[in-house]
This record gives sequence, structure tokens and C-alpha cells, in this order.
Amino acid sequence: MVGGCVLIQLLSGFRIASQQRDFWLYFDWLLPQGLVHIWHVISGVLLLVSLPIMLFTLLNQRKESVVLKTFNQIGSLIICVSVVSGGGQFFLELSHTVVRLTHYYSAVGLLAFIALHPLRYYFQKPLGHIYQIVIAPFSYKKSYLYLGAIALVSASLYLVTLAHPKTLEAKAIADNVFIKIDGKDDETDWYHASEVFVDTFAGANFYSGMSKVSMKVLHNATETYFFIRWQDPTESLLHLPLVKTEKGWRVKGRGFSRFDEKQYYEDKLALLFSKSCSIAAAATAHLGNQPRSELPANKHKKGYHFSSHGVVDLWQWKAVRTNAMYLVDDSYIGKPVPPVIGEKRYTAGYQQDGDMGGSYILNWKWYNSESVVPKRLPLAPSHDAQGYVSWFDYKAYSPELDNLPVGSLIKSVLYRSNQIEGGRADVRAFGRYSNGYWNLEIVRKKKAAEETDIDLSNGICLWVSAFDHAQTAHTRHVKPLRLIYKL
Amino acid sequence: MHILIKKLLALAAVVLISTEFGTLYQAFKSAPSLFETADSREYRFVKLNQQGQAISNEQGPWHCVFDRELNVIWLVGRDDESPFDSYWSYSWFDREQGKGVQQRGSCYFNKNGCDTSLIQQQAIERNVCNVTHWRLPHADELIALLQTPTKPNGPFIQSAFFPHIQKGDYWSQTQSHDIDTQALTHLKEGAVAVSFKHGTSRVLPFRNAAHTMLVADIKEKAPTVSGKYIEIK
Repeated sequence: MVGGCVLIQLLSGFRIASQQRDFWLYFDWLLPQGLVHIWHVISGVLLLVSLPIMLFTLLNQRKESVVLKTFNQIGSLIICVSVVSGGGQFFLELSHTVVRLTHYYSAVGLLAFIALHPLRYYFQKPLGHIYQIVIAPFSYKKSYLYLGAIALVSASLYLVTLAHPKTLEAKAIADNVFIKIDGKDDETDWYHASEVFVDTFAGANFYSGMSKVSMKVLHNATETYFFIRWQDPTESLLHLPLVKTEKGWRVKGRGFSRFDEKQYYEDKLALLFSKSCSIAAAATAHLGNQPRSELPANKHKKGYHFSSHGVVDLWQWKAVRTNAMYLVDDSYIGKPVPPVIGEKRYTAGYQQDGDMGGSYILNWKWYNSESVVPKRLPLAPSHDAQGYVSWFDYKAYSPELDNLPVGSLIKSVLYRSNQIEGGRADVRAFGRYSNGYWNLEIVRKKKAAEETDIDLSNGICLWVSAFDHAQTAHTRHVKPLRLIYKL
Repeated sequence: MHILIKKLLALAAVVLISTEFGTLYQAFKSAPSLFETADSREYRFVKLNQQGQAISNEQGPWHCVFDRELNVIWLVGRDDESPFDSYWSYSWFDREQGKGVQQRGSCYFNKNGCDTSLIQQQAIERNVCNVTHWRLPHADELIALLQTPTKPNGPFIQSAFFPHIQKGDYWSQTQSHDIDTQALTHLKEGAVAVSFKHGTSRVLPFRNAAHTMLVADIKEKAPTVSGKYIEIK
């Protein structure tokens, strides 16, 4: 069982590592796909529970040479380090870089140990060893008892841990208290709201991919207010700018063609709400190139978000595309939609709520990584490509009017109107960057307005992810927060 | 020694197979995915570029779509402020019959306003997709384009091939006296318009502003799309 768990741990662990370390994408064909976070945690808990028994057996019953005994002891030590550092992340929510690096490198060490481990047996008596490890334990009646006990303890530990996530208390305010959505928590009630901190990690950029997020919540009879503050070393408003080259216009990007831009992109923040408190973002994070055989493969090989049961509400605030509209982009994660032929990007269950128009649009007619034709051009030469531009501040593109010099940078985000309309605009928000932090204030009615939203009710779970000028590479945390309304 | 060599050879075989696991998997993978199946079959729509050449489903830009089912070419609305921008609206007017209401729609290329004959004239003059016989579609042709939206509140059309479709009414050339809206029945005559917002059709009076998507018949038998580049004239 330990061997099986270690194997699941390693394969699922390197799949999880591939979210941040592209090297492991070379082994995409080998690594498991789907809800690997859940498999990783379950096998980790089983390993944690069974580890003391295994170590006791190893250290007391083996009659081996000193060299082999030392070799096995090193392997056991690596497993211990790996399991303890992983357990610390799951049970205690430790996310310090040292803990995560220890976990990662102990897994790499374990991989080396396993690679050497069978070689030794192979050149001795391979069948005898396989019998000893795989078959013999099943001939002892007590083995089943031990296995059952380990499974029971592990399942209890797993379920009890998940049943008690950290709570985020929403402080009640009177209906006549006015909270201005301006990215400032200067209203008196915010000072009295309890603040919860979440260490998010494994994103692109930030501080080694990490960002500490703080959250406060207020509520009245009909609405819930959120104030979210997160670390971000840079205010990134340069969103896929267009640069003029000798050969024409080109979109600046390093990864946009595979939907994994990590440099020329705006900052973002995502909040995910679900009635389910399961790990892996309410069991919506399906990792891998093609987590289900009936779905098309994704270009970045990182995976898809989709839900097998019900709708998960997803709010995505975008520093350029929605902030000046005082909105977050109200989206959701549902069942994977059928692929549509000719569609440029397939996003499985991640979809935006329906809108009635008024959205932002991108300033190119057809995207090609080599060259594009802009939709609109600035009225005067400009090198400031940060932020968005109003439709009417640029003029319609035509080759005759395109006399901007080579090297000119223009904006890619065009606001065609002041606001998005419809269900996609159900959540109001405004973010403000100051001294290394984004400060974001959000409000939405408690009652869901669309089928693709969920009620903000007592006991729902939420997750938060930050993006530092990255398209999809966001930070994450293992266990959710539970929203509790104080009356 | 002999046994050791055998074991080394067996080990090398195991390493080789395990490192080539992905290749073997691809070779023995039997059931193609839904996406692969859908993509490889002869699909209803084919993108045509400005010159009328067929391009693959993933390529762009395209200005027209060849519809295998109806054996027609659709002029695809754009988002480029050209006369074919799908944002513009038109009143219904037939120049040959002298019927309808002129220039009551909103567009930028004619200061006095636009009607369906004007956009038809523009498409013919500009030889869009190498086609010069553009016309307004019949109501049943437009209705044949309706399909269930793939996303909530999405348009009732294959939006990957018609990406800038407006959530509003589109004119057909089919005339009718059955104006649905009670307040407008005094206008007596109009034409059938199809809404890609609701997936329904209704009769609107000629003076109404609605969007337009022109269509052209395939004059000769359309060639089979076997390669990436064919010409449909």
C-alpha cells in the first residue's frame, strides 16, 4: 500500500508541480490528469497514517548489509520529509517557500531513490522480492485488518479536516450605512470587520509566485461587501500592447498564443464561491493537457476548470478590462460545454455570464502571433500603451491613415461603452493600487440574479486567486474559507 | 555473465518502452475525441477569405462562409467599421420593385441613413469574396441558420463562424402583411426578420431598422473541399 501511495503521490505531485514548473510538462504523457489534487491529498493522508507502521517494520525486521540498510534508511527519511512537509501544507496550511521547496525536492529525491531501488532487487532475486512486497502481505489475515484501520483513520482525518475550514465572518451593518465602492476601506464599519489572511502560492511572478491576501466582509439585509487586499510588487496595466514593426503591427506577448501569457498582461483577482467545500477549487480544477478524452486538448497543457455537479460562481476582476467600468467580470464554472468547431479557445466549464452588450473589445481584427491589423489607431503618436482607451479616443484604422512611426505602442483594450450590461455586470467593484498592494472593494446582492450565480448564503465556501500580469497562472490555496454571516 | 547480459538487455527494453510510452499510447489510442471527430468530418460551414478562397476552421480572417447545407455563401458581418460592420442597421428597401422605405437605418457610409439596397450595392461593387450576386436571404434561409446557443444568453447561431452577429433582428427578402406588433399593424406591409437573440422570426414594417446579412447562390456546382484552398465563384 505504501508503494502504491508513493507512486500516486509522485505522479500526481509532479502534475501539480507542472502548474508552476513547465519542465514537468515534458512528461505530460506520463502524468495523471483530472482531479489530481484530491488523489494527491488522499494518498498523502494514507501515507501519513501508515508511515509509522512501515518505518517500525523497516527498522526492526530487516536483515540487510550496512550499505543496503543505510540506503533504505535514506529512502525512509526522504518519504518522512515529503509526507510531513505535505501534511503541514494540508493540515496546517503552511505555505512558506521553505516548506514548499522541501516538499518538492524531497519528491525529486524520492524519485531518484525509487529509480535506484528496483535496480538493486533486479540484479538479485527479482521475483522473490516482488512476491515479498506485493503478494505475501495478502496472505496474512492481519494485513486486511491493518489496511482497513489505516483507511478508516485516513478517511476520518481527511473528512474532519475538510469539514472545518477557516471561517470568514461577515459583519452586519445597518441598511442605511453607505459603503462607497472606491477601493478604500475608510468607512468606520470596515475598521470593525474581522480580517482573515490567506497565503496564496504557485502563481506566476509576485514574490516567488506568492501573495498574501487579506479579506474583510460586511453585509446588510440585501448585499454583501468584500474588501480584499493582496501583495503585488507591480501595478501591471500593460495589457497585450500592439507594437509597430517594419513588417506591420504585432501583439507583444510571451505565451498569449497558447493562452498562458505571463508578461504583457493586466493584474487580476478571482473569487470563487461554491456550496461544495471540496479541495481543488470545489473539485473544478482538472489538470492536464486533456483531462477528459471527449474534450479537446488545451494548448498550455495546464488543464481546465469544470464542475461535474452544479454551478460554481466565479468573479474575475481585471485591472484594465473591468476596473474602470466599476465591475468584476461575473463568470461561472459549470459542466464542460461541447466544443464548437472553429472556436479559437476552448475553456470547458469556465464561461462568462450572459451579457446584453457594452463589453470591452480587443484592438485587432484577427489575432496572429506574427502580425495583426488594428481596429483603431490613436489620434496622435503615442508610446503609452498602459490601461484602456475609449472607443472614440482612437480613430478607425485604415492603411492610408496608418502613419505612426515604427516602434509605436498602442493600447489593446477598447471600451465600446461605459459598462457591460446584463448578468455579466451583476457585481460592482473598484480596485486601487498603493504601496505594493492592490485594494479591491466589491459588492453584490446576496440573492443570485442568474442561474449561473449562487446565493451568498451562510456556510458557502470561497477561494481567492491573484494574477500578477498573468493570463492563467494564478496563485492558489489548498483549503477554502467558509463564509459566516454574523447577525 | 550470460545471465547478467540478459538482465541488462531486458532492463534496456523496459527503459525504452517506458520512455516511449507516450508514442505507444498515441499509436494504440483507438477512440478519437469528440473534438477530433467533429473537426475531421465535412463540416457544414467553410470559411472563405476576401478572395473567396476556402481556409481551414482555425484560420482567419474570413469575410464569407460557404454553407454546404443551403449551398449558398453568407457575407459575414465584421467589427471593422467598414460598410459590412455588423453594427449598422438598415430599413428594408427593394430598388428594383421600388418597394419599402429608403435610408432609415443607421450606418456611417451614407450620411442620409442606410437601407438594404445600399448594402447590397456596396457588396456587389466591392466584389466581396469574389462574388457579385449578393442578395437578401429568404426567411427560410435565415431560419436555417438558427441553432441552440452554446453559452447562456449567447446568439442562436454558430458564433465561431459568425462571431460579430448582433443580438437583434435580421432582414429577409420575404415580404408579408402579417405584422405582429399591434401598434404597427396600420403600416400593413413589411418583411420577415429573424432574431438571433431569441431564435425566432416575426414580420417588421419596412421602416424599421434591423441588421442585414447578405447571401449569394452558388452558380455552379460547388466543388468538394478536399484541400485547404479551393475557389468558389
